[in-house]
Amino acid sequence: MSPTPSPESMLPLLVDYIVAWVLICTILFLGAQRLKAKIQFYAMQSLGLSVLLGAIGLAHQNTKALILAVVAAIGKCIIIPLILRYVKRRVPMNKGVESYVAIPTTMLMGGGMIMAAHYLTNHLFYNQSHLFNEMLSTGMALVFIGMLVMMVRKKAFTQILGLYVVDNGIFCLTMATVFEMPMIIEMGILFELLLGVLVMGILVQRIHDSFQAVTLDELEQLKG
Amino acid sequence: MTQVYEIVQSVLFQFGLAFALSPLVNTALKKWKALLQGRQGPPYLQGYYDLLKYFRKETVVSDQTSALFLATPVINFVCIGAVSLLIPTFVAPQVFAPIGGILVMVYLLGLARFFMAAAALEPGGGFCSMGSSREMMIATLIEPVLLLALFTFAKLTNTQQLLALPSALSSQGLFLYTPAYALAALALFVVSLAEMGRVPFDNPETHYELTMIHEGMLLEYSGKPLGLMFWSAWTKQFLILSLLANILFPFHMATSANIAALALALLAFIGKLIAVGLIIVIVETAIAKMRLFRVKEVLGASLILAVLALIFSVEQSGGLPK
Amino acid sequence: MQFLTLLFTLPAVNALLGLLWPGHRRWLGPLQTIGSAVLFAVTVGLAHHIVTVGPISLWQGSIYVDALSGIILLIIGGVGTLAALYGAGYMIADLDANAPTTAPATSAESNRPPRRLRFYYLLFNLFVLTMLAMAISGNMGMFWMAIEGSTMFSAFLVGYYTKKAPLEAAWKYVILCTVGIAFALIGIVLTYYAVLKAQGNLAQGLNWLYLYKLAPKLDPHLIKVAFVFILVGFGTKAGLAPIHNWLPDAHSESPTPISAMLSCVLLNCALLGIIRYVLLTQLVIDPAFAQHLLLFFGLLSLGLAVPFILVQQNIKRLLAYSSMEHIGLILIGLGLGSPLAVLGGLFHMVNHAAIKALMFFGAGNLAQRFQSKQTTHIQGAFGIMPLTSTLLLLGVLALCGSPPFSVFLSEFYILQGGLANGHWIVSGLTLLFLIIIFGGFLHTYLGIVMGTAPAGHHDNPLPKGETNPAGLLAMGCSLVLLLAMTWWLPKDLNSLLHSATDFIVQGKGLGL
Repeated sequence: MSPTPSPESMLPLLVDYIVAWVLICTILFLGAQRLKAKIQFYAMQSLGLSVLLGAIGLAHQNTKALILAVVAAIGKCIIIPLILRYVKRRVPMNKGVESYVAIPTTMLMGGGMIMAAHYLTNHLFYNQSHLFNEMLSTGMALVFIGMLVMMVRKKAFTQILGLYVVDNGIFCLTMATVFEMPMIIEMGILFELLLGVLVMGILVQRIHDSFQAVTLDELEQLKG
Repeated sequence: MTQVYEIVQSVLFQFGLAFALSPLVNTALKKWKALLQGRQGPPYLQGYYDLLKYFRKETVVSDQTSALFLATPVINFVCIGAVSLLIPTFVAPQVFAPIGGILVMVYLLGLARFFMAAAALEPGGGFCSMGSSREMMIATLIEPVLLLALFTFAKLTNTQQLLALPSALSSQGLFLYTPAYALAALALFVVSLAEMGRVPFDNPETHYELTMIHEGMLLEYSGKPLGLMFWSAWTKQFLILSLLANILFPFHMATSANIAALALALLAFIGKLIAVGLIIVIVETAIAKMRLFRVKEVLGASLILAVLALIFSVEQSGGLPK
Repeated sequence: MQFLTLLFTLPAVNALLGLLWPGHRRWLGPLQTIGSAVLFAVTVGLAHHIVTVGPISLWQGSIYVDALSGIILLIIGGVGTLAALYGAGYMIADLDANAPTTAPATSAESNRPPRRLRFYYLLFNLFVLTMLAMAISGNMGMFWMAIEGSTMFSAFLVGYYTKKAPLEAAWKYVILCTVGIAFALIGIVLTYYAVLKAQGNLAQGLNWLYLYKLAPKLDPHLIKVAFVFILVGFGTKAGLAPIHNWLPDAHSESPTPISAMLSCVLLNCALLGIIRYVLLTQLVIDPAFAQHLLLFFGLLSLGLAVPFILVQQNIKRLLAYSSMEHIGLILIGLGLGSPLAVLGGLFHMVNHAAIKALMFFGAGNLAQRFQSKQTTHIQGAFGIMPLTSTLLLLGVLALCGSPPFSVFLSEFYILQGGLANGHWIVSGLTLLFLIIIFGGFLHTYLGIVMGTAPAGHHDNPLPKGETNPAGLLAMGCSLVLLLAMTWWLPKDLNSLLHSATDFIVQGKGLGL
């Protein structure tokens, strides 16, 4: 290795850093005790992914990717968190995170999932480039962790957050594999996400109004 | 000839320097913290006065204890002394490297900790026992993180000799600052605070019964053994500080025997220590001591950081061995 | 082209009409029915156009309307009209039942449609709109967006009664379907990646037609993995067996017209995505891979529905599980792979839509009158609602595949197609499950129609007579349709079914 970095070698290093940032945000997201902190870590994670897309777009001089990065940043780091915070304020629920599994345990499980995702990508796609592997494994890890959050946390509200982490994972997977889909599709997906958070927000509010609770323990009437 | 020279260097600048400077460093940390909080703080030489005081005092030992109680301070001192030979200061002579690397260092610290906790159980005092049980709980959390973080550096540099770490790290130039390095350094920093018994985990300055850990174990000691215990604890702190300093800023080590180079390296080393010390003091001032059951969450988080670091270091070196 | 424009403007106009209608609330339902009927006429015209002129492909295939879309469009238009017709009576009765009694009923103000009814029609039409978009999209990405949009718009319809159980159902529906759709998105990304690796034209990389043409160059390994994701993803929305949990809840808790729309239309629309992808996998890899998966999921759905149908006490949940059974049957037909079985599967989509609409309407009428969905409470309906009961009983016979109705034909095609290809085990199991389900249904419904009401549940005997004449008309229409399709299958529908079968089995019409 040469002691001074060259511009070509900067991109992988930058990607390394952003991926590390995203993963740390994810772990902190798992470890957060309060819903507000969880929303913030989600926003920070989305910011990392948007910056990643922007950086790769810059490196490849791809205007579409840059535009998309800006739109994703606005949608995922500003609008969705704002809506989520609005819902959180409107619904007078306990501000803490309630979980079926202890929080440190879920953090460790999250770490395990990151390792598993890494192991899987290394063995399924062994002859790919470093960047590909890294982003793919991050995307997979986010999908796994989002699923984990949806399964172990008690509140309906946290399920929304888990869903959006899964979505960020798919965003990352998309970047790793195809880099970018046709513009209109990407925009459509983002629009659906915004629509989704609105719909789920209203539903959470209505559930709260008629159940006086938003934990999933209450949502167990319908069976069989 | 070079071997003899390196042994001399080792004994003087690693073993000697550590034990000589550690009271000063401990007091300095206390003083800076006080200054940052708008207090006067102790004079810089307070650590030496304290040691002198302890060594002049009479030793009182409970008649319920066995020989282990009095042997422990010596064992502790010896363990820390051995560790001091493995950790680079401003010189890194390789002469004692064959003793071992990361594992030996971590387990020598573990040995010292074991004897300390065992001896604290001897007099049968309630606070002593509580201190040792807490110490062991934290130790189980510290050791894996410490090992994983140091393994990351080993993976990055292909050496597991602590003495060889700084030069191997600095040879990478600016490429050193990869996520793997950053994450491992962060994990190492957090776990070092725990290992040194600093604020978010333990408070070295108080004897508040409900929270004390290290102080609790020393409650039944007095006189010379107490002095020895404090001295070893401070030296351990110094050693970890210097390891941290040399990993965070692995530059400007003395590579030749010439006096000017040594002096320059010593100056750089002092600068590094001050930098790390200041970071620690600021962190300590900024955060409050944690409740004991939160400790495991923070250390768990740093464990995950260390795991992430290891993953990244594996990525960086081109995937898992096939 | 003008067909397509109409196809999209009509529901939009209907939606606005529903939202802004200034007149009496009783006129809103018939107006919507007329709007839906016009939409149905447009779909029929479009189907005729497809048959006579050929598939429509616009914007380099981003919009692609072929025989398969034609079938789905007909189902959307037909069931949409029936549901609107039924809803015209049902929703008003529903409002009257839930209205505060103190409100003066005569003033012009109070006769305006209330807010929830306006939103009901707005969302209903938007829901139809997204399903139309699913049917005509020639692009996987657009299909994905439409299917996700349909979840979002129908979520509030499922949770229309803002009470505990409907809200729970809506929540499960949104969460499960969105997660499923997320999996489908992974599948789409992987497909796009395969196109990228095959150095295809990325601008058209997600268009079905382009994918079919590019098929020989695509990486089989990636397509295999992608297919599994797609099957799980769209399969969640189609209510396939291990991931069907939202289906009975949503179908039983939503207003009856919506139950019918979900069960008869939405499931088929989701199947459309699976069918199109199956064709792609068949072009890339050995057809057996996709077929075996379809057979597996089909049999699983069918088999898992059996015990639930036998013990079910909620009249609408019973029908929901029956939907699961029929979706399984359609998948089996498609998975068997022989032309006859595929034809049977497609024909079964149409038949199932017609019969399930009837069943839900009847069950809705009963539930509204008895104010309960429990089959133990709804007993002896014949004495109270004779017409509904008769139609329902005939419907049960049709639903379970008794001969004079066209459901018998499609089930027979599927079994015959399986047996002719030597799939003895699959056909035998299917037949066994169908027979058990027949028994279960007949048992439950004979009790509902002929049984005696348990004493003590109702303080005073329920008034006799029908409440929803429009609903009866809708039910009658479905029954006539079912009979008509046995003896006289409309020529256009027939050729649509046949060309769609050729398309699926041999890839005909692709120019391959």
